[in-house]
Amino acid sequence: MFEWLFQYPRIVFDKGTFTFLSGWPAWLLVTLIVLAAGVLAWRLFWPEAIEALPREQRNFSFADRLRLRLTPKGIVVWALQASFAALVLFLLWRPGLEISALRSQQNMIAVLVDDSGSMLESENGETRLALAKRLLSEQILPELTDRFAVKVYAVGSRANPVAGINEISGAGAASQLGESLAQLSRDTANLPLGGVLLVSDGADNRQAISAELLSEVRARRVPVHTLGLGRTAMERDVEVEDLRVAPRTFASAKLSAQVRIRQGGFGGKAARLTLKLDGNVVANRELLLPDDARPRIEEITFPVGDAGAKVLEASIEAVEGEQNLSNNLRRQLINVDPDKPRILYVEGEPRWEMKFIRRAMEEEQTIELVSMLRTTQNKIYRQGVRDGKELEDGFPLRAEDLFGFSGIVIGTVESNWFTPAQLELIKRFVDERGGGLLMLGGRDGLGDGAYALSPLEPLLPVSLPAGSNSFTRNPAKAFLTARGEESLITRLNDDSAENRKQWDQLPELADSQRVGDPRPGATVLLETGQANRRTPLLATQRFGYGRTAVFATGGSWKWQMLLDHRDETHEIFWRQLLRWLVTDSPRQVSSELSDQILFDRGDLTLTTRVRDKKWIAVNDATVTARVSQPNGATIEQRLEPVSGQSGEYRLQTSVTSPGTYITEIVAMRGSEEVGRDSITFRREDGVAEAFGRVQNRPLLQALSQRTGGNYYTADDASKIASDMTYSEAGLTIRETRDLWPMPVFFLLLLALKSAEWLLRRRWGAL
Amino acid sequence: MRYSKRILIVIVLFLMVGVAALGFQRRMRFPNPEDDAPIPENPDEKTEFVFARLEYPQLNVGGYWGRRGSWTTDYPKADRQFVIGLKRLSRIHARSKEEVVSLDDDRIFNYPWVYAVEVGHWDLTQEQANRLREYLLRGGFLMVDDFHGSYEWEVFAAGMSKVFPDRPIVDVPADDPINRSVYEITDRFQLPGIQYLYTGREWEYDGYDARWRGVYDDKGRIMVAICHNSDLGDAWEHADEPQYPEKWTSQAYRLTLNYIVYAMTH
Repeated sequence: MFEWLFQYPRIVFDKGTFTFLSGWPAWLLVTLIVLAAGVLAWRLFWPEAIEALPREQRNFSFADRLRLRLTPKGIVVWALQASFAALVLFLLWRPGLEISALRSQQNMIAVLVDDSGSMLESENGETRLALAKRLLSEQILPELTDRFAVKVYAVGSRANPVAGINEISGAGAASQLGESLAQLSRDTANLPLGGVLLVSDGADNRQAISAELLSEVRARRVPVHTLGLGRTAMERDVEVEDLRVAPRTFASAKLSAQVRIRQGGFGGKAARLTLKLDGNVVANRELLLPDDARPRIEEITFPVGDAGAKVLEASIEAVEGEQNLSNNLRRQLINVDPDKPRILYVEGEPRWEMKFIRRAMEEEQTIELVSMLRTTQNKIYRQGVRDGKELEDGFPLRAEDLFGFSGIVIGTVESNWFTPAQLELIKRFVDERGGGLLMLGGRDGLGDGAYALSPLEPLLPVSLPAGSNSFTRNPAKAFLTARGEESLITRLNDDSAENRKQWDQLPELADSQRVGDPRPGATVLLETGQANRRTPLLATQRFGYGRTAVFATGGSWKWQMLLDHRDETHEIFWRQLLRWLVTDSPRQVSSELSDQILFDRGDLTLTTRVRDKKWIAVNDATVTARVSQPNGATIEQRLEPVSGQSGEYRLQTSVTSPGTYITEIVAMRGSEEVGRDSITFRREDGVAEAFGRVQNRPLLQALSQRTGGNYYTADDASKIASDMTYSEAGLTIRETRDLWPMPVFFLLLLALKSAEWLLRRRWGAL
Repeated sequence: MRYSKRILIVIVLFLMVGVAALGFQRRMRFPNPEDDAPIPENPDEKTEFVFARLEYPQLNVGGYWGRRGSWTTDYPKADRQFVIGLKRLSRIHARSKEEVVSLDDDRIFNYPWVYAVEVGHWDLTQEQANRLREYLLRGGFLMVDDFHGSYEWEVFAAGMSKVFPDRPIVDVPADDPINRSVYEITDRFQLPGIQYLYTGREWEYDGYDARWRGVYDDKGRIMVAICHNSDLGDAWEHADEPQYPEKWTSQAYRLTLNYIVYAMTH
């Protein structure tokens, strides 16, 4: 119906830009419309000559005579005539849409098919995967392959290219949609990728699709269209649909767990959510169950305590009338590493910011903060070093010395204090080693430290102004952005309204520094400045294997000195920021599992990355995994190098008994140990079928909406191929579409004239 | 005639000696606080560090010091002279002119380092003591100086007990990080004030030995650095006095610089 009326598919109107193809000026159109309306009004409402009036009205004034003509019926007729004239004039100006369309035969389309277990759920006698294959092979792929190079990927923990859709079996690990999309974006950086079609139920997605991940995709303007499969509602049941938590962290850290709850038939009812760590309650909260359509996501922060493998449980107390109770509980495993990550903080002059950052981190004791401060021109005051030798010669010159840290903070240090080799080393630290870099504002920091021309500038989430005078010691207010509301870094309170209120009430910073625009992939969490000229204050982004942040001030110490000494705002902010900086920094030997919880199956893949102290991939290591089984027995297995992936080793194994398995991975080079890692997984039998695994439509809708794509159901899958033609990514041509031949205009003209005729006929001659 | 001339000479001599003696009297040479040091260049510059001097009420004493306030001792020349050295010897971005802060309002919280002199005469109200405690617990740092002997100690300690009734004043060991933040100070000797030049004594009252004390917080960090039986303020103020021994001035600069960098890092 839409296309019959409007001639083009809806996507053309969503993506197109309105224009007049006649080339005549728009002001002339407006003038003519006003003139036409005026002439019509004159014709209809101008008072008749006195002689034409009945005798008793001949003494009427002009105003009285005008009032006689200006009747409601007359106004309706005038409105119809004026609208008709306006529409005709509008069409004469040739309204049109400009739209980017992919060049035929010159672009690539990526089709990502969810390979997770939930795709094997059956509905109406057909599994979701079978339905996906049918829709793809019958409706979508034939049309797409006619015009584009189509590449199909199976999405598990990453996007793996496959030769055809029949290779996808649904046996993959839980999918990581966000990471897979970001990885696809990176892998196809040099290809003309025109669009992505993700076929999924979104149900088994193991990872939050963060704004940062999406930014990478958005930066390329690649639209991600989603085809959602599977049922969307459940009946008289409450389910802990998902429990997400970082699989590894360090001792004494605080973690944030996301619990996704879905229900059917109990919307608005109260329920109790409990979070337990190794059997001990760490959080307990009362909540109202969400409406039927949308899941509710509860975010809970909790301390992980000492090192070791831990089981986290999220459960919902049974709701009255609930039949299926076995899906009210979810478990996840957390590996708490004993080693504290170390951050190297370089400060060019004594300043209060350093004192209070050190204090915030001292009390937390989850991260080792090592600092070097230039107290005088020739003296460096070191704190937190392991021994007198560490950093004795100043900032590290060798990769093996610097890469032992997981994060770097650079304060007010001019860029030329570092040698070019050291700056390159910092760049490699982020890009290759996967460390975090945080740069602070200051009179010799950021732009005023001449970093705009340094090799570090491209790493940062904001551009830097060249030249000086960007730093001012005037009080500055920090404003929380919409992205900041979602971020763990800027969460001062678990309640989002309370969080915003706390930010609004924070004292002003002692100073601030002007930075440039955020980069396409950056996330701005805080801003400062006047309402109409806000500039980023805190921005983050991923870069290479690592991440970078800019906090454009050296004056957050005021949050400590101007608030009650019991207030923890300053401490919480800095702990969260520095934790973010290092949490994902890999170790020399770092391992990941295809899935940490195995439901009714035992197959899993262990992948280990091995790097030497200079963070160069080690290809000649002997990597073994010692798996401690639930019954206490230990099996030793060897990981094999992965061809084409330097320094990567893999083990595909299988376990049969349910329970928790602790795996210790050791990488040796000859008799020398390169490093070790430990990771835990768990097999749970008889649990999976209790979980409904309904389609996560909001996730898929949000994903497509944020990337400029569309969400489709199986019923409208036939539109996908033609809609995908319109994209601003890849190799495109600018096309114009005339709007005047749209049937809706002719129907409208007809309707206007018919209405006028009918009304005049009914009211008699006017 | 000759007799009266002699009398005149004696009177003149007495007057000259008297004026000279008055000139050597501590703190008597510059009756008005702002008179003894010119306003330095760029006095309103916005900087990271400001030398904040604490204004406090004193015990009910009359006379000149009662009127002027013992908190103004050596003010402002000592402060300004010290900052000149601080800027030359360190990378601290410091303002050339000091700032006077009091415990009667919250402005003090903008200055995380504060200097108080002659605290052997202070007389804090409970409200002021509460504000000072809050200031120190938030992370502020107080350096006290130029009070001597057991009587002045008692007065100071009484004030501190109002601030921290349950926190002891202890000796700062020589190996405390505060003695190593910039200069490695192992020999902490007494630093006499300018009175040494006319009395020849290195001590005042019964304060024969220098005491380096402090009040620590729960994490083992010094919040209050106490220079008892020494006069670092005089040592800065008279850094340009040829007769005042250079070793005392140098030591005073080193100690204070250590205290400030410690306060900015701990």
